[in-house]
Amino acid sequence: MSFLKLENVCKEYKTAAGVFKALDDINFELEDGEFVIILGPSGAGKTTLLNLLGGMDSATGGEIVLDDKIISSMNKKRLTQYRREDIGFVFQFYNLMPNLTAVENVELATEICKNALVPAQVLSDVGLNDKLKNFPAQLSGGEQQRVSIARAIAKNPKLLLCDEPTGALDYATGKVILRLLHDISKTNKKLVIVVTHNQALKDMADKVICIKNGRIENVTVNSSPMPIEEIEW
Amino acid sequence: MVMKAFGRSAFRLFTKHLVRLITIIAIVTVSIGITSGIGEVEGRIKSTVNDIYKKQNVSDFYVKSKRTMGFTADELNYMAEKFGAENVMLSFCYEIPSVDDNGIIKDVTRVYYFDFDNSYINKIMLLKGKLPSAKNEILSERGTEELEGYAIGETVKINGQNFTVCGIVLNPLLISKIEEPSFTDPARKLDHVIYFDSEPQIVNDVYAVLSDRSMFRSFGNGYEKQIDRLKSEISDFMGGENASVLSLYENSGLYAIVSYAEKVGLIGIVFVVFFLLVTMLVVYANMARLYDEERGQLACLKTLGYSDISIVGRYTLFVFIGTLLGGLLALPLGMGLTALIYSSFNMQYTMPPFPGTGHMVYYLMTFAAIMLSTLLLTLFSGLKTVGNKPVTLLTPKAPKSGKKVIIERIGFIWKRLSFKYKSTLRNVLLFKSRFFMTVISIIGSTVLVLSGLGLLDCTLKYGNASSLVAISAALIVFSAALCALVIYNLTNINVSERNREIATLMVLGYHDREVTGYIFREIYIMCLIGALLGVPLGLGFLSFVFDLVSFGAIADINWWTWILAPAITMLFGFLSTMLLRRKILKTDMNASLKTLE
Repeated sequence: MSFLKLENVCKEYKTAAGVFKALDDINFELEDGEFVIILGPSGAGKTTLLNLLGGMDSATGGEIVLDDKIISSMNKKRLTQYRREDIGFVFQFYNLMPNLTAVENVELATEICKNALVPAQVLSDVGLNDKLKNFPAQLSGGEQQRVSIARAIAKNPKLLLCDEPTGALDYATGKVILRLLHDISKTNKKLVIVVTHNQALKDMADKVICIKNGRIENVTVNSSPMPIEEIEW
Repeated sequence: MVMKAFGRSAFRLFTKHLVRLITIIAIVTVSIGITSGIGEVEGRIKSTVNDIYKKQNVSDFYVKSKRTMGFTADELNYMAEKFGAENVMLSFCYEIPSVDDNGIIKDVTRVYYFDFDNSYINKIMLLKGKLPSAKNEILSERGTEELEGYAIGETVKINGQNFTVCGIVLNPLLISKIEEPSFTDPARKLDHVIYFDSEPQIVNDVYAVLSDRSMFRSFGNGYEKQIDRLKSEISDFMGGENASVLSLYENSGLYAIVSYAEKVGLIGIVFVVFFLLVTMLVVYANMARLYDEERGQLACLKTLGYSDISIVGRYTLFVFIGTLLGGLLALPLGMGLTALIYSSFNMQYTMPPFPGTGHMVYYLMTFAAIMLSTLLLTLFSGLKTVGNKPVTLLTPKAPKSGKKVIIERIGFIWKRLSFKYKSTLRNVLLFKSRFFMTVISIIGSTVLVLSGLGLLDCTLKYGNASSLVAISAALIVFSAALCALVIYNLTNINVSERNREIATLMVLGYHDREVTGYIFREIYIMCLIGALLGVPLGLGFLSFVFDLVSFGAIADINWWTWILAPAITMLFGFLSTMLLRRKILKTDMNASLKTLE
């Protein structure tokens, strides 16, 4: 049994014009410690898929299983518990609380889950040991994204979901952040899923899932991923 | 064509931001309603007193002879010369104690001799029945709690002779319902007052009026000086051992009514300041938020070439309409409150019916003040935003960055707080105007609720004064409404401003109660501070009010009222946040993923 398995997953919306299928018959399997990229143009259904994986929305058909837990059948309360315990989320725009310091922003996540890591230690791991008490406004974009990553991994989640994590960053900083996420998947043996529309990134992933019009176009396994430093775009 | 579209977009402002418009209308209605309702009282009371003074031709002086045989011809001539013969009225008045079998005084009856046909000074008002037409008919003063009145048709025995009461009257000098001391024995109160229609045989009372009736102006300054001067002249001539000279200032009726009305006027000023402040803060918070929300549109209009003032003009029109509607709705509200307070004067004084119409100076003044301040606030805060370059307006406003607050310096306290409280305290202290707005409103509400409950306690304890129950109820309802309005409004702004934070917390797996707690905690802390500060301030305010209306005492207030009042305010704060619970929980988690708007 795979660590994460999606089987015949569908997401339909009822609109005035009829039923709109945002996701149609999605199937794939992913393993612990993999670095996975979900690739697709805007409107392809990437965000919908991310919402289903992150327990922010429910599928209308099919089954999602993470580490033997059936996510797709959870009610609202259990989904909240799932997000709390099992999911780490890295946002495109960091989403830090402006009135909390870096370390407090990490505590925001660790205070509510059981197997949390030590916030200051995690921040130090992402290279921010001298910025613990800075407020977001006193940090650069790359530093803010590191806090956001620290907040996601400090929960010690089973799955790290990243929504366009370099979308708001400059080229060089973006690379550093991707390196960090890649390292996390390898050293901590975490499944890291990065959603992006940047085609160039597919060379660094263990697996690439391409989505188009709500369907999976193909799933590519990369037997020898390239280090991010060698990729140009 | 462009202007047409511009006008349409101005119109859309009203439909799109209807809730905001209603908020402005509501706060303006409550503010102007209460301030003008209380403020108009002084004017109404004074004009009522002025009316009584003129219509009943109330005497400015009441000179009483201490001799059994009354005034000498010399003295009467002096008064006639001083005031003019037509401005002086002569009367005879005495008191009859009725004694029981053991020789103990049962009650005291005062008897006035008036020639009703020629009585033109201190005209008594006939409340019921008719004036005497036969020798054996008399009039009785109306009954109060202290003064026993006779009923029409009742027989009264005076000096062995039977008389029948044919009418009930009100003497303008006996308008007070407080007990009237007997002048033969000031330790005793008067029990009955009756009037004979007969020319006085002996003159021991002289009533005198100033010929210039317009000088009075409800005890104005010029009148006081004139009365002081005349009083010392008359006293010098008559001599203190022969006569006592009393002016209207010594009458326990009219002057007391006016001085109470003036105190209510003082309270009115306190209310104006308080409500003006709260209204300004609420309108400002709303409009500042509206400008932030519409930054993109402002930038668009600006790049199209509209001038700053024409862009801000539509928002100013928005506030103008809101304030105008609120002000108009406040008119009946204020009138009702004025009538209510006016009727509470009936507790201690027999007042004429409420004069419905009046010049409404106070209403117009508070209306103008609130209108001016809200318009200026909208204009200036708008010009400040629109004054930015379109590029700046197109990028979202940077959130107020976090800052260390003063408590963080006290390490041992700060370290013990969980981060939830750290964040709450930082927010509370970061948004200072919001903090003051909330705390001032809550303090105000608590003071008003406390006053209402305190008055109610005393009213119920003494078992009288039903009109005060109405005032208490009005105070409690209005202040609770104010409290709910301000908190709802503020929380609503807070929720929409922090939409992204709320969505983030949800994604992080915060449960419903934890999410709402994150937003509500700071409101509750401000509520608590306001409610606690409101208790000592309410104590001060209540003792002032009790002193003012000569009714009630702090000691008569139930102990639990001091707990109930802040609890009611906090309950209303809680209820209005509960109304926003759904809105928070309906937040779309995708709001955390979207680009910054």
